[in-house]
Amino acid sequence: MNLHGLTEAMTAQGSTRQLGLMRIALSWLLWGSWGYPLVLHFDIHPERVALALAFYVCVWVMFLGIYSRVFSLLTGMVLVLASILLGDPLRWTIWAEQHRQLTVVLTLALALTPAGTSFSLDRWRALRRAAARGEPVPAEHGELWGLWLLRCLATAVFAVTTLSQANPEWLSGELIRRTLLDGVASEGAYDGPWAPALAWLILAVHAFVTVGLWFARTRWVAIALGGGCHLLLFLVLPISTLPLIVCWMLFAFVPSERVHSAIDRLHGRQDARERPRTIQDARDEHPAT
Amino acid sequence: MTLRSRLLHALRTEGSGRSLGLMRIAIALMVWARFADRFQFHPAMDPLQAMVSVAFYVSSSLMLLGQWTRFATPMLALVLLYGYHGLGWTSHNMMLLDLTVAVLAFTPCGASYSLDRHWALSRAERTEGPVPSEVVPLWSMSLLALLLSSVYLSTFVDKCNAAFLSGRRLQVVLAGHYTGSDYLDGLVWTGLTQVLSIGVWLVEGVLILGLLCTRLRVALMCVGAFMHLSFYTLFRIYAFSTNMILLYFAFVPARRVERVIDELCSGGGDESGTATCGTAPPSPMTRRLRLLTVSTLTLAVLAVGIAQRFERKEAKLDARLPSIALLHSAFDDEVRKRKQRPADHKEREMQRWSP
Repeated sequence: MNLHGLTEAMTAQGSTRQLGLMRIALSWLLWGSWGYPLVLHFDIHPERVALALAFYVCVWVMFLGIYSRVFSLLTGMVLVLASILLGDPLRWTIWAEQHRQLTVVLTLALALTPAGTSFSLDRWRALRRAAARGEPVPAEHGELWGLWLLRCLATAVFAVTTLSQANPEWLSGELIRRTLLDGVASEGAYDGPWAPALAWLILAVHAFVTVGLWFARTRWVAIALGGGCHLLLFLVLPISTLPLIVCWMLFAFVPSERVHSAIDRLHGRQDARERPRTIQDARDEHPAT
Repeated sequence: MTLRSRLLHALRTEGSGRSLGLMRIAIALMVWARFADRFQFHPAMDPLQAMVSVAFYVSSSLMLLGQWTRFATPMLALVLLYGYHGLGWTSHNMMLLDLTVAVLAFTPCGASYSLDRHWALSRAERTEGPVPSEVVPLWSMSLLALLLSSVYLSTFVDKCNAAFLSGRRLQVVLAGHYTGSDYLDGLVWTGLTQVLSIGVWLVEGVLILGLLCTRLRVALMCVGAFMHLSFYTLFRIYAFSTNMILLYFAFVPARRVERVIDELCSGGGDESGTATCGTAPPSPMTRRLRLLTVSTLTLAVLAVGIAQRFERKEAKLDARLPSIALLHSAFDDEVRKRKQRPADHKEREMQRWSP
């Protein structure tokens, strides 16, 4: 993609269903990553209680899709504040984990997208308003430059990972071996040439995914390889929600119109290509009882 | 309508499988959140454990994706029940999750939002047949509803005693989570814990059958959800709260769920990705600002990532990928240490009573 293409991407518009699904998935991931460390019984200092309650409320509202941009921003800010204000060792323990850092960055970036236009209470209210006023049904379309931002961030993350793994320490397999030995196995349990091979393989996958996601021909392979590789790594490495966050980032590279039509297809709408569905169609099919 | 005819109606009811499809996805994710790290592979595993782990990951992945759900869901239920009986994971939240998956195995939960449906649609497209229906028998939804009611019934019966209704049991729970060996004594705390205990007992009593009442359903669901979310934030109960809230879905009519989803997805416009909402194209200045934002944030992530890389070079290797299990145990250790700190406690008491 050249500079002209990037500039065009800043004006892109399209279906917001993909971003709606990503909002819901990210709120679950946030709950999975931050929910348990922030439960109140670990510590009941006033600032911690306030931060924890703010987090739970913001994530719940973000999940439901009420003022999604505002609450995505608030969630991200609460987590940044939690990382700054919480005392040691809790702050260090929470913030040191990569999957938590990633969720904060992605939540703040999601605030720049129209993620609340689909699958949200905001949309439900917009539909009710339109029906009451006799106006046409609001479309599930929005500006997608935020989606391009998420794609760029995902690429940056993969690029950083590739760069950080391109060193002798990683490529010797020593880091993988020591991570695996951490608490579950005795010395010598993971001897053999497979650790360097795995290290090289992971580096190659990250490098391929960094570049391959941006070309139509290699995109699907890169998505499958990146997602599959991280999900397989979860089986042996203690990486918590990181594989699911990687899958979330890879999902951003699926063309939004493909997601839109796939959902229509799963709902059994064969006429999706010919005629957009209206709210009246839905009501005709499901008369009020 | 007599009880017999109601029962027959419930057994013969058919409807959209979308609510079951959504429940399947949510429960599979919840199972991953609660159990996935416990089934990880390590060299100390015996062959049986390795087989159980393989069965867990295969069945839960198939269940999430909706491939062969009639096979994957019972398999996952068996694996989780093995965890309960064979591995001693007897926590109440795990038991509820096991039972939810076991009951879900009786439902056609793969009829919607699944790979099974995708293949059925592809087959229909190939043969130019009609679009396969999402309508399924819904008698098994009643089982999920029954599970929820039976949980409330058991907790309600368990709380029917003077120890709970006087607030003493809640005080013990609060002491276990917050105050160590100190009880929250005093008139205010005693009164508050008693009121809260009776309130929880009443809400659970009402929720046993109250969710069947159409008029009260939404209000009761809100009250129940608030109660469970409060429990989640206050006590160590893991996935129990979210599991219970998810089971409320069994009481929402499938027809209603389908209609809401259809309405939400109406008026979507065309597939070309072009705007149909008449949004004005952004000005060149806006375009430049956006480009600047994208490039600045991307470069910032790159810079932070690279900086961290150099910072961590000196750090301990095992600090790079700490497991969630280790994190949990660290928290638990911290809590245990605080509770077992008699010296501190004495000091605090002395400070409290000193002039």
